[in-house]
Amino acid sequence: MSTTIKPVNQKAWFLILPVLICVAFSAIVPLMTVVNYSVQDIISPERRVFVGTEWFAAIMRDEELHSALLRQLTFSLSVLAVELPLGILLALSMPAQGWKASAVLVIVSLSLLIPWNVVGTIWQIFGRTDIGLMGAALQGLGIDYSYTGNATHAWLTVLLMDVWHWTPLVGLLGYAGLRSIPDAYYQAASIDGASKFAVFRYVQLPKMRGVLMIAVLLRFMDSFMIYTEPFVLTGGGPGNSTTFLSQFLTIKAVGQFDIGPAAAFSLIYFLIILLLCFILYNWMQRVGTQDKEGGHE
Amino acid sequence: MNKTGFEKRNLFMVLYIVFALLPVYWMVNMSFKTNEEILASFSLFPQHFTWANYKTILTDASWYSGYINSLIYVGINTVISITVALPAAYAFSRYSFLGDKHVFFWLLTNRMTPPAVFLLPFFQLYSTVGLMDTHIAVALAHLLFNVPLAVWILEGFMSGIPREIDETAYIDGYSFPAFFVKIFGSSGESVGRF
Repeated sequence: MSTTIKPVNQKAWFLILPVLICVAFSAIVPLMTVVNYSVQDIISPERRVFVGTEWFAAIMRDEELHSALLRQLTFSLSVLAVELPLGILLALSMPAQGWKASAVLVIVSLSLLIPWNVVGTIWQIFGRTDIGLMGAALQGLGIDYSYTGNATHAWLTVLLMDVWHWTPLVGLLGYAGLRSIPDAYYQAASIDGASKFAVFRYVQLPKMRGVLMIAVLLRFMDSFMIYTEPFVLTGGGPGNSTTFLSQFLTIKAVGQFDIGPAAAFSLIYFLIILLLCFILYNWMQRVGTQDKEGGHE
Repeated sequence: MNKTGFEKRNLFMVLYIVFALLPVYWMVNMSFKTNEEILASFSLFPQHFTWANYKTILTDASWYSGYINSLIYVGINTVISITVALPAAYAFSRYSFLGDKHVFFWLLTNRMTPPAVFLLPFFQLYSTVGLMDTHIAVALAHLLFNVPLAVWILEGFMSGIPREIDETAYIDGYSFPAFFVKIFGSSGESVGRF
């Protein structure tokens, strides 16, 4: 929100009332239902027992949950580790103007427009060794590739799929940041005899910081909630090597109908995301200010 | 910047474009093949080019009804999101009131919630109010993610319109709703884009 002085008017609450009612129906009521379930043992619709924090204690000690959480963290961090440098490289490589720039923009943003389950389907077929291009090519290179049989291959395929789908987002955000740098900055740098790396480090990177921060937050949040793509591609398997948190939760809630533990886990899941985003956001803001101080020395 | 740098960048760009397009190309390639050809042989181009697959999805009800369902619920969703988000965005962009910043950020936290968290309560809530298996239920469920985003985007968009324009409209004697339609409705195309 902008910081210009706005007239104080409490009647403005009436204008946001429709949104509040809407979000109350679709967010607050369901969230409270989850809280309600998480402290009860529901034996049948008529019989329910208050159990306090028992489900929370049980779910915190759940081995399966620990491994799912670890898998999820590894996956989300890998996503960031690959997509961020690749996206920056992409932003730097995209042509600045002319028909090439428009053509590249369209091609690069193509994968962002594809619905999630279609992305899963595309890669499921693309990776098959009998009819898919990538599977057949890897087979031809002598690698015994199989995303349904080999846990490592499955994991790498899900990662590659996410990189393919979302790197353009990082790239486009970075590109927008780069375009906002005035030419004078580059001229000043060339007068100072700055190397290409120095230009990147002290001119381009600081200017991209804001948009890259948004990219990191968005990619982290969304990869932490990933569900559709691995579900379509591998169904969480082989074993449970690609069962991430969302899928773990779905199996618990609608597969096994363990409503109490599932609800307790839902709340913990939500809090983990909020907490990690909060830490990430604060940490990046601090790194940013240190960068600025370093740049002025 | 020297010339070799440019070439390296171009090379990376070309490689990335190939990487970006290959999976899509493979889908397009397969869409023009018959089932037998897909399973029997492996080729980079369709050997027996056919439009039959497209004919199937456009004439077979079990395929195209999916598209119609999507269109219906997207329609409902867009109408509801924009009608509720427009006044709210206006309020956030023009006035300051008790707790405005907190409400604004609280709306955003909804965007951070894992959808799977809401799976169970949505199921129960919609069964209770008798909305199960309707287009409205799907549209309402999606409001959770779209309304906060709509408010956020519209707020940025409205803050870009100078307040003087509002005041001019009042002087010209527009009532509040009429002015609203006139000013923001005229730039509505950019709203519909998201």
